[in-house]
Amino acid sequence: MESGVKGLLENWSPVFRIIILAMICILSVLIRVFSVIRFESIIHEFDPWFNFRTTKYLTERGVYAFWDWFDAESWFPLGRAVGGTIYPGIMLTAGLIHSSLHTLGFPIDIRNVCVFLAPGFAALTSLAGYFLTKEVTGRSEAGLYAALFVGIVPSYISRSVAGSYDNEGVAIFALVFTFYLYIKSVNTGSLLWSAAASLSFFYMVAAWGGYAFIINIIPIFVVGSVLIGKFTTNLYVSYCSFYILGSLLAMQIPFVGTQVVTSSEHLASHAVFVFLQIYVLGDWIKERAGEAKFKFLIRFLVTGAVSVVVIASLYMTLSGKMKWSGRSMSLLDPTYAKKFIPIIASVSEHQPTTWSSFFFDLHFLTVFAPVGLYFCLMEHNPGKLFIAGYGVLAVYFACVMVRLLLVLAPAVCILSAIGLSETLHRFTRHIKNYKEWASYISSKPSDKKTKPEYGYPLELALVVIGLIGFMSVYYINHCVWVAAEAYSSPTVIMASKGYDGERRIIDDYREAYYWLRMNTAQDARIMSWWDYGYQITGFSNRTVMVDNNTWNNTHIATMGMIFGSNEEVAAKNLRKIDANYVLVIFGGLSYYSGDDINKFLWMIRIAAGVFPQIKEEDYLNRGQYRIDSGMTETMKNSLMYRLCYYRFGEVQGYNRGSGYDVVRNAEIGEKNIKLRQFSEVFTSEHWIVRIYKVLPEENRDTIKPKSTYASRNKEMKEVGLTKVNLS
Amino acid sequence: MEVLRDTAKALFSNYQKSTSNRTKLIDLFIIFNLTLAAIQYFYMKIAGNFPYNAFLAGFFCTLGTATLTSCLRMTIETKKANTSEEKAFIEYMALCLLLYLVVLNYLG
Repeated sequence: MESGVKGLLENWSPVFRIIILAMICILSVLIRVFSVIRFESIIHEFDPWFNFRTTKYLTERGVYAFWDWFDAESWFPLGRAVGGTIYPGIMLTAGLIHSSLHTLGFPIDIRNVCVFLAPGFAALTSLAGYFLTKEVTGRSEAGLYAALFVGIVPSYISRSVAGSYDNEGVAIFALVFTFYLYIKSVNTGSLLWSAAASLSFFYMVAAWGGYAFIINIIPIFVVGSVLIGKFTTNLYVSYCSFYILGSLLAMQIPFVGTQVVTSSEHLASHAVFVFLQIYVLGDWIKERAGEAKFKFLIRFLVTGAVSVVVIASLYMTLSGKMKWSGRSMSLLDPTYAKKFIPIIASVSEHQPTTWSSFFFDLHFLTVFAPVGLYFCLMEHNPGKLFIAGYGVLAVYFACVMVRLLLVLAPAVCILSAIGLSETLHRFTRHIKNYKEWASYISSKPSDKKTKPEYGYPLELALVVIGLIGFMSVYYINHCVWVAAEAYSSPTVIMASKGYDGERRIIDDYREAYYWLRMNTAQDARIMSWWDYGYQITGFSNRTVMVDNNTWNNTHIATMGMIFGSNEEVAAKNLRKIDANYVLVIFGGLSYYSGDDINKFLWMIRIAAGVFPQIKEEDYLNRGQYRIDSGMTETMKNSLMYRLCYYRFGEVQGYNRGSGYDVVRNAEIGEKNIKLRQFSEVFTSEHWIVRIYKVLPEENRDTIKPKSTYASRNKEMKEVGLTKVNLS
Repeated sequence: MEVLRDTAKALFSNYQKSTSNRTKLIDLFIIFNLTLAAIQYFYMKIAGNFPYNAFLAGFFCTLGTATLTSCLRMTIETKKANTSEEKAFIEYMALCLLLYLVVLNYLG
């Protein structure tokens, strides 16, 4: 009877697998749509607005127009060649899905395609994780665990909720899928699998700048395998074909182009390719020439080759031919950006990761992953070594920048799946063989029974399995909670709970952007800090000065200088760059702490890098950043202060004085602000967005009268014309 | 120095004797491609690299064909891999086709 049940279960196990995988895919889609349910189907945050705008352009005008698009609406006097400076993967994917849905007869709006693209790709990523783990371990239970973990890990959810239409949403799928195809090609040695891997790598290069991770980790894996003596023909075949096709395909993306041969990010792949050829040649010579002659040859060649390589790379670096980009430098030396490139240091996603971020984003996987690492290194094959190397390298990068925790997430999921699967495998065997083990323990030495392979006290085994089950359930609970509470806010809409628990929506951003769209001229130019550039062009369809692309540091520094100067100098500069409106974000009335006053010091630091008249110490009172009566004169006269707190001195709070800033917890220093060069045109309902118009120059300078009554009297006295004493 | 010359001679005679004609043909093709790549590189040094993408496309085309052929040689000749010869050859052709498609796109 028992074997009948067991046989039945074994026959049906593929069906169970498919059902479980389908449920995991559905779960990973559903866990990401909290924001659509709670708010609406809207594009979130900042960067996705630019991607959405370009996708709309693509669907409206076709691929050729999109490829050659020069955007005159951003970076006002300069413009931006969009076709050549983006990673077009996600836009082309969304455009393809949109047009195929339309041909099939489903007229779905492009906005909905974009909003729901990331959850769809998350489901595909869980599938890719399943296949990768199954290929690495040969076990489908480990694959199922990996699919579940990858589908709901909070770190991945944070960048792929419904509405977060950003590069990482498709790029993580491309990453995991490329790794799966590459491991498959290493295991089988077939050229077709490595061709598939290079095509998937091409998609990754099209999708995200993080492709540099793949093109570095695969050479490191190859070199590591060779150095520990695990060189096989399959390794050589798979890497060489992947390298050639991958590099050539990467050159097809205009944004990458010839960087493949000139930048330092691809250097490892070139070096390892050459190294592999030399290794194979050396192997061949060793076979034919015999040991002693070979040793002599080796010493001769290696010293020559190493010296050539060292001299060449020194020459290239010192003469500036090979550039290390700012981002690569800050990854290798985490303090580099803080010292030299304030604009990279000011982004909150680029800060070093804290331990609490690790636990919040990965939860119990941080505990299971080292177990998986242990099992990967114990009985290894190429796939397991690769995953172990991926995990270790990704941990380093995740520690450098919070944003790169996302690259670590799939590695940790796969490692923990391997660890969990091995542990459960052992403990279930313990439970199954319990009777055998119990009889062995209670037998006398004279019975000469052999020690069974699996055996453990039954209670302990049950406790272990129970603990693992509890932790897995708790993990799922945590992920769902995190997705609902922490990562589902669209940033353009905010919600808060009133005193009686009712939900209040704060929709100031959209109110202001729509006002801009309806009440300004078509060619009006809006000046703001770079954070809001993409949103302004996306929502209001107006020209902006600087946006989130941050490719021109001097232009951004000019904006910072304008915000930090006094009203006259700022207005003069604004007229010089031809801006019509100024937009500031102010959170002092609504507890919104991400406003421009809090970012102001970063603006000053960035401006100070280019304009020597801006000094950070001028805005700080004895090292403290204050906006109350203790603020410095420069701070009081700065444009940012005046625009943010204009008329705020009249606002009465509960039990507080007038003009109380709730974010900085202080009454503002100057309450009676008068603006001569600007006029306030719009303030949103909770004062979050404030828009000012730049007034044109006055028609004439004010004329001071040349002589007063007393001075004229003095003049006449000197000449001798009057004898009257008028004192 | 003489040791080097002796080793090279010994290697060469060993190569002549022990490799089959088919393998020698494949090796000749690899060396032909590498020579083409070297010629392209030196031409670029002399005549300038104005359409840089054209140079890169041509260079990687020859380099890529050489690499793919050496992968084929490894798979077929060394008997360490476990694919059949026909399958390896078909894959080689398919990949060469893909390589030439990409090069065609990049030549501009």
